[in-house]
Amino acid sequence: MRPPLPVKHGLLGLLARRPRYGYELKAEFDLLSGGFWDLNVGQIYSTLERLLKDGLVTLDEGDGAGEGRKIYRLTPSGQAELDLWLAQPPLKPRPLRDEVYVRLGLLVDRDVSAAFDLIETQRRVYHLQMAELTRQKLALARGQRVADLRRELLLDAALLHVEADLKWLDTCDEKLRRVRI
Amino acid sequence: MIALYRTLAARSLLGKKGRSLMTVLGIGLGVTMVVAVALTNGAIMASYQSMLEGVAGRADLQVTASAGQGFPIELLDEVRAVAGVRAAVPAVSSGSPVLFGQKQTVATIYGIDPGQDTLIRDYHLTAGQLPAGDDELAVSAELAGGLGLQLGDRVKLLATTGYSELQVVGVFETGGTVRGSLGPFGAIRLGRAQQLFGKAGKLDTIDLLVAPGARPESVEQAIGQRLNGRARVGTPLERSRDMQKLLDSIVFTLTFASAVSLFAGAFIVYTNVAMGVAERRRDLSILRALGLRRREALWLVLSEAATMGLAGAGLGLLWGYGLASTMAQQMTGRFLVVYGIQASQVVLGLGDVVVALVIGLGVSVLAAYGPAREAVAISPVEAMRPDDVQVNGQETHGLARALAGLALIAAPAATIFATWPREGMLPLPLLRLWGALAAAVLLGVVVLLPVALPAANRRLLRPLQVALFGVTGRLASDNLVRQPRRAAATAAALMVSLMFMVGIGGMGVSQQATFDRWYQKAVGWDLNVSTSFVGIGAQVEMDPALVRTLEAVPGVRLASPQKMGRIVLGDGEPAFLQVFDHRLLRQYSEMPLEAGSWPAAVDALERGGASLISPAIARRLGLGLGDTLKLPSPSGEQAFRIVGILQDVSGFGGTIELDRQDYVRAWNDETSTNVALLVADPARVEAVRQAILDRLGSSTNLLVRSNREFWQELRGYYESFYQLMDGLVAIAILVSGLAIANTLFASVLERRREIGILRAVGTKRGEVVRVVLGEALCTGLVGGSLGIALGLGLEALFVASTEFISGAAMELVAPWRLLGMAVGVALLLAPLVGLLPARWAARLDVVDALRYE
Amino acid sequence: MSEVIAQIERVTREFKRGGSVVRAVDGIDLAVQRGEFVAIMGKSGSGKSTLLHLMSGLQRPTRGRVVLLGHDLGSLSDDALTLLRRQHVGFVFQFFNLLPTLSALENVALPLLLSSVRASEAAGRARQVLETVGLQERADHKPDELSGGQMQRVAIARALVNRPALLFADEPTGNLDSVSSEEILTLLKTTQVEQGQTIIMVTHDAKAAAYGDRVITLRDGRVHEDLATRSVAV
Ligand SMILES: Nc1ncnc2c1ncn2[C@@H]1O[C@H](COP(=O)(O)OP(=O)(O)OP(=O)(O)O)[C@@H](O)[C@H]1O
Ligand SMILES: [Mg+2]
Repeated sequence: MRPPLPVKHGLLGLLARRPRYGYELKAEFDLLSGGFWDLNVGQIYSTLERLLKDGLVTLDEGDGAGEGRKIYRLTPSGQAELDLWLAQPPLKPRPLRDEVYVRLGLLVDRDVSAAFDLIETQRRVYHLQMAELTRQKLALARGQRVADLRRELLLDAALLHVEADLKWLDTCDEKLRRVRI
Repeated sequence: MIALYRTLAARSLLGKKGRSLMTVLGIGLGVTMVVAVALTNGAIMASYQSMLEGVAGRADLQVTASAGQGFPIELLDEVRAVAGVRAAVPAVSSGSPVLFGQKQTVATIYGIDPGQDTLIRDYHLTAGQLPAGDDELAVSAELAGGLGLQLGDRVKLLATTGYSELQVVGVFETGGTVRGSLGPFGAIRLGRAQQLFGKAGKLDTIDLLVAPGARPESVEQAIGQRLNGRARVGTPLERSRDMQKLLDSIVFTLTFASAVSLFAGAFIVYTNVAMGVAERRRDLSILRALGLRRREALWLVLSEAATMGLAGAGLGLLWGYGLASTMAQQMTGRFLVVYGIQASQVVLGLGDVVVALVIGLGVSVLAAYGPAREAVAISPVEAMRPDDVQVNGQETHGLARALAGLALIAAPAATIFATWPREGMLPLPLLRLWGALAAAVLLGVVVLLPVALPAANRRLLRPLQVALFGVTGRLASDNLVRQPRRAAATAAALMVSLMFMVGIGGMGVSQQATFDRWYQKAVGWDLNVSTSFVGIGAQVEMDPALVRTLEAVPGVRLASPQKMGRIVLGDGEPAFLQVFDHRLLRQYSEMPLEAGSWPAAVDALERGGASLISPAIARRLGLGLGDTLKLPSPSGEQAFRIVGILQDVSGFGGTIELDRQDYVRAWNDETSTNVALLVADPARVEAVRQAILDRLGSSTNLLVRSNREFWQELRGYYESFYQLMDGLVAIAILVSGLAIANTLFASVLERRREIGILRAVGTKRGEVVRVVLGEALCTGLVGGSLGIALGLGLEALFVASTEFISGAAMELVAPWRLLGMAVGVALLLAPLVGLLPARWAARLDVVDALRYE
Repeated sequence: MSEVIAQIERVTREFKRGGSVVRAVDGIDLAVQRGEFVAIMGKSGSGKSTLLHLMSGLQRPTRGRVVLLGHDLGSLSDDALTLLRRQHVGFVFQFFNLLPTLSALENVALPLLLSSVRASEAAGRARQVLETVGLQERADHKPDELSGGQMQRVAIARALVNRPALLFADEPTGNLDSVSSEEILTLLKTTQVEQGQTIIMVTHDAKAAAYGDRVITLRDGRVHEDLATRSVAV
């Protein structure tokens, strides 16, 4: 089961700075999350609907026409909810939800050489991913804008997670090799 | 725990075999010098003592001549008559060549009264008997062995009148009261000895036994009064004091030499241990982190040092014994024979062993203590830092050290200046004090050096090195001061060696130069004839008849008998006595005078009752030109007007010159030690020499020397002494070379990684060699220039103080040859011994070096 | 446009240890293009450092050929090899290996001085390079007055001062915290991007390797994986 993404609170946080148009929020959210979540516009709007219903945001109609012209604002109760969430300690450890774990787990006693192949392929993927992340990091104009810093921190998090995955693969490799012999 | 120590210590010693060996070698050489010098001194002194004791036997007191050829035999009865004298046994003695077939040796011949002599001495006869007849001779086992003598053999003995034949009638062991270490000797009847050695009616010694119940002191006093200067009385051992005095300057130099070597030896231990500890810093800190206590870590390091010290001491004892044997032999052969002493037996006593152990072990442990404490004082964490960026060696107590060093230099210098004798001789204790003060100055320089080195490096060495070798020179000079104390210790070792070389050598050069100038003026004869003239003394005097014979040889224009020997002055101290026939002397020589004019003085001497004295005598007795010199003689006290102050080069405690007529009258002695000849035609010197040998050669042992030969011979005495010193200098330089090599090895070892990085960034092998050699060169420059400066200072001090020590004034001459050698050693030795570590550094595998931590 | 700047062919390096022979590098073939940033990874003991030493001419192979800048290293004398290193190769190590007696500036200038560049010119160039690593104010400090990251930057400046064709780095960040590591790696990357510097770096840190265009993984002295990471999007 996938745990809910903190989309709701992310939107509240973005609106806490200033009111925004709906279309702005998608782009801002991507920036905030480093573009890793692959949210679509629909997910954003459905979340906004829920927030409106709960009275955490209000909606002003702008001068233009259509959905794109609507400005969302944070209500005091929305601000309170955001503050409460930020003050909360992260409660759960990171969940292991990568399908690699499952696949490797299944291959261990079924086809070890396939397991090794998987490890190799996956390792390659991780290396490439890290290289890409590093490239992105290097592309950031360092320390110039808060947004860049925010993004860099996220990239760091991503890099360290991939590194952990890589190390895990190495460990798997080592242990499998030992068992096989 | 102890076992653990032992394992750890053994591992680290064996792990670095090469350098452990070098350390042991260094300690060994240091101890060698000390032991060799101590043993040589011991042998010389011991044989002199035993000679006196052997001759004196059981005697409580001994009457000896105050000068020249003995004293009148009448004194024997007078002494016998003194209350408290139980027995008075007369004897005459002389050194003499003894010939048997083709073999020849020099032996001491005693004329004894066999009946009475056994009261004093025991002769353990192994064959035959003591001499009963006039041509009978009993010989010591040593003499018999040396010449292969049997009972009944006939030997030739050199006497004042020529050879005489005697028959061997007895052989005795040199044991009991007739001690060994005398060298070979023989005994003949008293009367015969008097006749053979030109001592008719005279005695050399009277051995006295004091009656039971009588106090020797009061008997001595009574006899002294009775003799009233015609001869001296004293306990046999008292005479060894004279000897001590004569030998003092030699002993001083030898002691100085050994102190210097000890200094250098201590340094090599210091640098080795410091390096060993630096290398083992990590091991030690790991052990410390594992719970080895500071004290225990200290113990570990000290026990290593002690092990090496012990091994070094053993080695030093062995080598020292060998060297001492050689030195004693050489000194006897070339030098001490002048004093009639043989340092025959070098005996290694328990005391020497203890001294060697204490020195080898003690110095090692002492030298180890400082660095060891430093090593265990650092926190384990600090020592284990992986990226040990070596902090530049900064002196922690720079100011205190600098002040201490300056004080150590200034205070002794001021003291020497303050105690400089304005008049009179330098008392022995003061001389010893000066020695200690000179050592303190040296110590001051050593203390100051670690502080001064970085400063000197910044101002002088670095710019020089950079100018010469560019960046490699720069690195070299920087490396030099990374461990200022160690670098300073190494430089100091070289400094001390070179100071020794320049100082002692400079003394020799000054002495020889002074001597040469004196000789040119004072010795003007063409030929000199003697029977067994060695240096300044004769073993067998020459009969007046011989002089007349010489005069009659065709081609001889003039024959002038000369007499040289020792005299004991009223103050109980010895002096050198020279007697000339001034009527003749003035035709061929001019005695260089410091005060007075030669023509006037020689006129006065010719008239009689006049004398010349050297400045030492003037100082000793507080006399000057025109004063009256009083001398004891067999015919009572004699007064001489002082008509000149001699320039003196002999250094035997002062010289007194008298005219022959006065001497013959007062001392009743017509013999001479040698005869100076002038030839009619200077071109025919060789022919005259041949004529003399033809006429007299078969009946006596004649030495005929030309002016040049004699000069060479006398010079040889100086040279032989300084040649012995050369050996010690060589050892000192060897030790300092070892120290330098060791330090450089340490330096390279510690900086392996740096060398690796230098190589990695493109430093060629040759350039790495240059960095290491540059450091060596710096060490050489510092040690060399200081050593040379101090050496010259030492020479100046020696030369200036010689006059107060031996009475011989000396001129200061720069020892150019030695200076050149010293510069060579300074500039070459360090780089030369550095070559090995440098090449090693250059050959280090780059990657290995980089891995090294 | 590609130009092979360093190439090794069937290179093997063995070490005798005790009685046995350890094959640290086992028949590796490898070519590095000018301007590449190659990261070499692998477990401890897999032969990374040895490979680096072989490629840079610090060590000679037991078998095989090493060609650096067109020179077959096997045919060069030690001095010629040293000169080649001096002029064309820079090194950065895990333990910064600065000379403790020299200031930062002097350390950087050292390779120039060794090549007999005039002192004033050497100092000028060294100062420039120190500036590019952001240490101009520390020029006169001695190594023991610098932090690890600063020392490593000085080391990089020293490696770069000769404008070497090749820069070798063995665990340049092995001794640094993550932020300092990042600075150092960014610095290296910048020199690659801006000056076309060829870099061969050994690391066991995947994050560091990610700066490379190519990640080579060694296993038991052999190339296990040679992965180009350039122009691949995730
Ligand atoms: N000088 C040497 N003598 C003996 N063996 C060596 C030497 N140098 C390296 N080896 C061995 O060669 C193998 C490879 O060593 P290398 O230093 O190249 O490994 P590495 O990958 O750099 O390891 P690490 O990540 O620990 O630095 C190891 O087994 C090592 O023990
Ligand atoms: Mg390595």
